[in-house]
Amino acid sequence: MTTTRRTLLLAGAGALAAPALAVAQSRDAIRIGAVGPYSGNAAAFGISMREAIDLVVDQRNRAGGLLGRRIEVMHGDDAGRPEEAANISRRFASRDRVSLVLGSVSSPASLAAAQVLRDEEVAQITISATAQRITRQGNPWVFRSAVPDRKLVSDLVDFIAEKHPTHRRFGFLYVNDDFGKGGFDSFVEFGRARGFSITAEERYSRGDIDFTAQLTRIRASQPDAMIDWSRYAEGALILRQARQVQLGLQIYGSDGVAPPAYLELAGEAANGVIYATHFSPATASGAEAERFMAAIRQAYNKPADMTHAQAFDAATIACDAILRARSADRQPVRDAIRQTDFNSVRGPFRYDQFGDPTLVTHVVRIVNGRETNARA
Amino acid sequence: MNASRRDWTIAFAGIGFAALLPFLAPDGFVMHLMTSVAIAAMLALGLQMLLGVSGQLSIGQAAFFGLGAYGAALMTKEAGLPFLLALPLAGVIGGIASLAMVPITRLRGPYLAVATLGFSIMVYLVLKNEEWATGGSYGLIGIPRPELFGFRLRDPMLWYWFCAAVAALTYVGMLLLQTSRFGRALHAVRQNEDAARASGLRVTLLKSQCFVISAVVSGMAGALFAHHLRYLNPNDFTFWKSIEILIMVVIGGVGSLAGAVLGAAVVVVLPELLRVVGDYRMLVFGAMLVAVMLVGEGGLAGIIGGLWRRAAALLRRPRPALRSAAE
Repeated sequence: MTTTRRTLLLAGAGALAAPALAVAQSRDAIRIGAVGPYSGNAAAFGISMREAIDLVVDQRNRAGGLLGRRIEVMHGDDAGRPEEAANISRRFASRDRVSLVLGSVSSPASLAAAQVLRDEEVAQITISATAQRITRQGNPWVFRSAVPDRKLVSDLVDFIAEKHPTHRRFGFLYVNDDFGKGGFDSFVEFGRARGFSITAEERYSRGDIDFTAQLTRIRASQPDAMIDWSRYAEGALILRQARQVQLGLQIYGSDGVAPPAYLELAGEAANGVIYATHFSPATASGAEAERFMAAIRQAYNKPADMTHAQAFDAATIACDAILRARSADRQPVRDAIRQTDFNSVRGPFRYDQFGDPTLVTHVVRIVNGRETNARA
Repeated sequence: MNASRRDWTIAFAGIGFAALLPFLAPDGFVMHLMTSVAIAAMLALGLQMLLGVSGQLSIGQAAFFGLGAYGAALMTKEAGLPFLLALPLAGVIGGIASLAMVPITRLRGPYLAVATLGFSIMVYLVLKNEEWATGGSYGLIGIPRPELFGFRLRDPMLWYWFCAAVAALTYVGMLLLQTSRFGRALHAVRQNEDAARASGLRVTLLKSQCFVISAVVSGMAGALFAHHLRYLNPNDFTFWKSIEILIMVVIGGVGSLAGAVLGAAVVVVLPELLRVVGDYRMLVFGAMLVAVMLVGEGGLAGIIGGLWRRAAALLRRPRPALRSAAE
């Protein structure tokens, strides 16, 4: 018994000493912080984000690094929790002395990180966070890789009005959090201009698994089509249950269902779904996109998804900004990010005065379990 | 009487260490983390009051924490009240909310626990859905920096000292309470409720008072938290937060105030240290919790107390040996 206790204590002491060693390793590298949900229920986004960032940094390091220095990425898992994102950001800024921070994925975690990074005066490029208000706080240190939700929704509304003019009355199902509420509010606002109306507003909590009550009420309200503003796990269940209750409506979805896990989980039920997204292999064009998709396939043996593209662009912007600034110091890097102007994997990329990208969005339709260009 | 002197020694040693810490590790992140420890320590002390002193299990502490946090944030952000006023008022908010719990203090064990859980779920839903006040799931942005007498606590070291001082006052207050007549009555209630009632103690009143004290402390911790991160989101006040607080108390040692603080430090700092393990971080953290529970039922306080006694015994043992050698 005594020996076991001693071993446990020793193991504990070892665990305490380990981080000190890790910090001491590399002094001269340029450091970039990356904070994302590498665990928890948004982990599919987080893992894609990490893969793409590691890929960019790997490529740059093999080509000799930046300004003659190696790049070192420090990853921090926020599990989607704002408090954790704030803690990690504080560590990146004050202890790890990073040049800038990439992340996070969810809007609340990104907002919590932004509060800290603004204090510490470190530039931040969020990856998938779409809440409009992230870049509307008068915070000069925050930039975004994703297109804000309002732009995405307004493009989807335009798409429906032009390609499916018979769809004018909608049943709207959404996850009751920042993401779902943001989608719903924007849809109501932009839809009004097109004469759209909502026949049923139904919501659910993150992590719910039974949606038959909401789907039945939506069917009873007799809309022309259904909008589903969900993330991939719930979105896939909704598709399967919509088929069970014989909903019989065209379903339009959000960028939250863009991870490939959605199609895997939904299977056949996904056929015919149309959703707005930031990137899709089906709509990608240009040499940058081709090279990016080939690199992801080669490194990870999987098709490139939306979060890969957003994180790949964010990491590229970061590296290029350091090169243009000829410095890894925070202020010059921030100023250089603002001047970003390049061909990203999602098309020509520039920042507007708020720090939002001026990119086009895409609409895809699922045919035989694969994304196809719905605008074609 | 002796035990009490030992408690005071531990308290002042701990407070002295906390006060000197910024000189030992003058680092922004360490200060940030230690401020989080001070806030967590208040939460753990609040629950220790319930669980360790009066024997009531609450798994809804996040509710009072959240109400205090949002209450204080709205007071300084929207109403422009000074932070020093918002801090005690946040405690008042927590205390008033806990009055809703008075009817359920008659419940015991798991029944009480589930009732507190229900309350915390309600509070979470209110924070999440009353968008006009709380910002809903987007969260509350732009909480001002804490100010003391017109002086902004911009330096993380000053802010740490302030939070540590509030936590230290809480600790001393609880220590005084524990050894008072009130504290002894609570001990009696914990050990045998029926016997306490038979001796003329007003058990329900005592338990309710305990609930209010615990909620006031949690509400004040919320006010500190709101001005620490300066961004609030309902996701930080879920069931998981209540469980974290429970882990702090149990791993530190149920019944020990010093243990509660130690438990808070472990629960806040250990996951940060374990980031080097990468994806297995929370797995290792969980395994360590199981290990501590296996080693001793009294938590860390019990383990350290045991080691201390053994060390003392070792120091005492050589004496007869020396004497025999001299003879």
